[in-house]
Amino acid sequence: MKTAKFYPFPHSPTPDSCWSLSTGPDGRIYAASCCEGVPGGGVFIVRYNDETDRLDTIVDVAEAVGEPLHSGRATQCKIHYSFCASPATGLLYAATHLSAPGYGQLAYSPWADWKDEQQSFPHSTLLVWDTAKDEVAWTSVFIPREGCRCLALDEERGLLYAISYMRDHFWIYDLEKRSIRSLGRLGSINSQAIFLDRQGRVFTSNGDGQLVRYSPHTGRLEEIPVYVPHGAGLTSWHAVMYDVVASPAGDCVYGVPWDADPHLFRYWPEEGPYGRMEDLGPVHQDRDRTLPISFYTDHCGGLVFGADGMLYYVASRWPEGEEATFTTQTRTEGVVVQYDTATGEKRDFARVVGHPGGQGHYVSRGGRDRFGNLFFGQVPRPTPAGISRLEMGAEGKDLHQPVRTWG
Amino acid sequence: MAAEISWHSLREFTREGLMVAMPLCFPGQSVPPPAGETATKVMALNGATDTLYLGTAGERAHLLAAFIHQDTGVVHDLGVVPEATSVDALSVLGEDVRFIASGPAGSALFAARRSLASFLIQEWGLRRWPFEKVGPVLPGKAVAHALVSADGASFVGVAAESAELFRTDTRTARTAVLGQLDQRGKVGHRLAMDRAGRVWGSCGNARLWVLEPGAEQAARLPLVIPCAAGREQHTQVSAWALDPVTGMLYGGTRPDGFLFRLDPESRELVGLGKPCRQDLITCLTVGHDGRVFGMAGTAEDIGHFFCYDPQSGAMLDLGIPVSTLTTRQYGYHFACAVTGVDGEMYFGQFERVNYLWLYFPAVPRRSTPAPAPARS
Repeated sequence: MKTAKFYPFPHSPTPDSCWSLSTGPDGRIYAASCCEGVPGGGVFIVRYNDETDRLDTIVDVAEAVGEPLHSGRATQCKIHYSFCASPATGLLYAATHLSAPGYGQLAYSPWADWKDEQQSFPHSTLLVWDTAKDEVAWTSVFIPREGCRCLALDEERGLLYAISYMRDHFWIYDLEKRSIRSLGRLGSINSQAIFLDRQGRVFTSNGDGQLVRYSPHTGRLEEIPVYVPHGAGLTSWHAVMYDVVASPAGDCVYGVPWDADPHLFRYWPEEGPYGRMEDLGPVHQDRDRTLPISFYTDHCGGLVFGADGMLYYVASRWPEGEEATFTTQTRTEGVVVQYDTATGEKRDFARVVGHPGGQGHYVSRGGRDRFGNLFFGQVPRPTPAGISRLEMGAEGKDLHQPVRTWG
Repeated sequence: MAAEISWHSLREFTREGLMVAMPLCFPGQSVPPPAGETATKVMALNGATDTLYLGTAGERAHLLAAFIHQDTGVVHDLGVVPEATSVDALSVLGEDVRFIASGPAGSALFAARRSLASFLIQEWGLRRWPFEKVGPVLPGKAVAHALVSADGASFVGVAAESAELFRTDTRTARTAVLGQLDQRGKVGHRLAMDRAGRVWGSCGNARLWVLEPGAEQAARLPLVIPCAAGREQHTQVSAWALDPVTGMLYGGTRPDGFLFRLDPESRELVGLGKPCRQDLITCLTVGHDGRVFGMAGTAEDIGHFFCYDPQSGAMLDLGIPVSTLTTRQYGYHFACAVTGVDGEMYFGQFERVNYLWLYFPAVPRRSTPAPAPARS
């Protein structure tokens, strides 16, 4: 099996996570270098340079939005599943997220510090990068007082859809008016993904793993009787969507939940009144099910279709029986699994690693660049975080199409 | 010491007692009414049967019945109220259940069959009967809130926009408007009833009014409820609770969220301060031990739960409501509260997705006894 090449982020304070990685409208790979574990941590947007084989830092978000990391308030420290490429305009939308304590603070609770004008997170910020001009096109206040967990773009209607943390509201942002409104709360646990079908309808999930659908045709936000699959013996509680990718034809999506024993699923949103959900089975090894396993250990993400039409995702592997004694010293593997959507056959395709001897199994998002190579955003231990590039040997130009328009 | 602070020791959630968020359904056997229809505006308890009735607001309004004692543990949807977007008042007297609900066409009085339940671990059967529309209350006008008289003969309420005070016969729905409390529509949207049957509310610039039983007109009192300096014109009472033992009324205000105590007999009004940083007190209830519990925070807030102890004068922020038993949820915004027969408390959540929140107050510890001498 080949191994993807790891590219650590070069920023300070040391980035500890990469929660967003996306193919840009220009076919290049953009990633968020995030620092949530250090008071005053910030986020940078990097781009993989396919001519120099290195990462270029293109945006210091704190500087771009005018919020110094030393302000003492909770910082703009992450972009969390919130890159949206706009192929029609060449823009890349990015919305920021919270969780790092303010500079000089010892701990941060977004609940306890709510509305505290000295400590709290002021708002998520929308930052728009113009890939043609290579510059920040504009920035705007996005979600007041909350972070943006995930983001989706409706190019046709000029709308962005978002889920906020920690109140778990469903938001609609009008790009022309630059105004945002909430349609209300979904639950207590954020869905980590929000996506659109070909009709422009928006889908996400609530904390009980139930699908929630918004229709721009009716203006109605509704819970529908479809649930994200979950492991036997568990409940659908916390089976929120983690990562969702559209099939090349756009008629269905493939996804995994943010849950113990994640199952791969396929959902056909346009079939019948509520769509059709298929459980494609567990992605991970068997384990001690009496243990409430950490989602850091038992993690699957980075779903991306290759130029070969195969679905790829990264599954964590750990030494059998060591889930109870798991530490950041445990020898894990991140395995890129190739899944044939036509036959259901799957095989181990490649490895993703972090630093030599460390853990690189935790992959947040995947993307495919204009040469057909695959990239994965990682939350490795030890830090710094970074991304991995998997050479696919594909031939042709503009192999990044079609571009994913949600985070 | 400071270095010991961590995410795990801030204790920002329910700090005393225990909260349980109960789904608005028969868990595992039915699903709650659709999100957007379950914001709980009013609740009333049948103390004899332990049935709690809930009236909701939203795209459609529902009447629900909750049972927690014996072999129950269920919230039953009694149905959608025709042409209504909110249930504004509930009367539960013995087997008689009546309510006022409002919609685009105005407000109306309805009657419902009582709801009883038992044997809900196996072989249950819960029914849903149509509501009887008794008649219109205020055609074209929505009701903010109303309370039923102790004998169940009439509702006294206030209109949401016009600030009209009215009395409605609970048998016929015949309604008499008793006057307009404020021409600008500045009126408190919550009412209280004291032990003598007087109805209390607020109007105008932070002023109290009272309606004596049987009176045809409310008396505007020269009592100003607590508010921030210069903010009288914005201030109304947003929550009330009666201490049935002492007869004291407790009130909470909007928009600033002050708590006060009113003696209905002497008309002495005492400001008790502001329970927490959040604006707006949304609901209050008095526990069996005389402590006053309430919620603060607007619909755009992370709300906090608080307690006032009239014995010690202590006001405690009890944290952000959280439930981890059976349902794992945060609770951010509430609109009504009731104390149950065993001292448990019910809080009606008022968001897009809602639960019935039960609170079990902490039982005070006995003072530590002196250790017994060791014997061999």
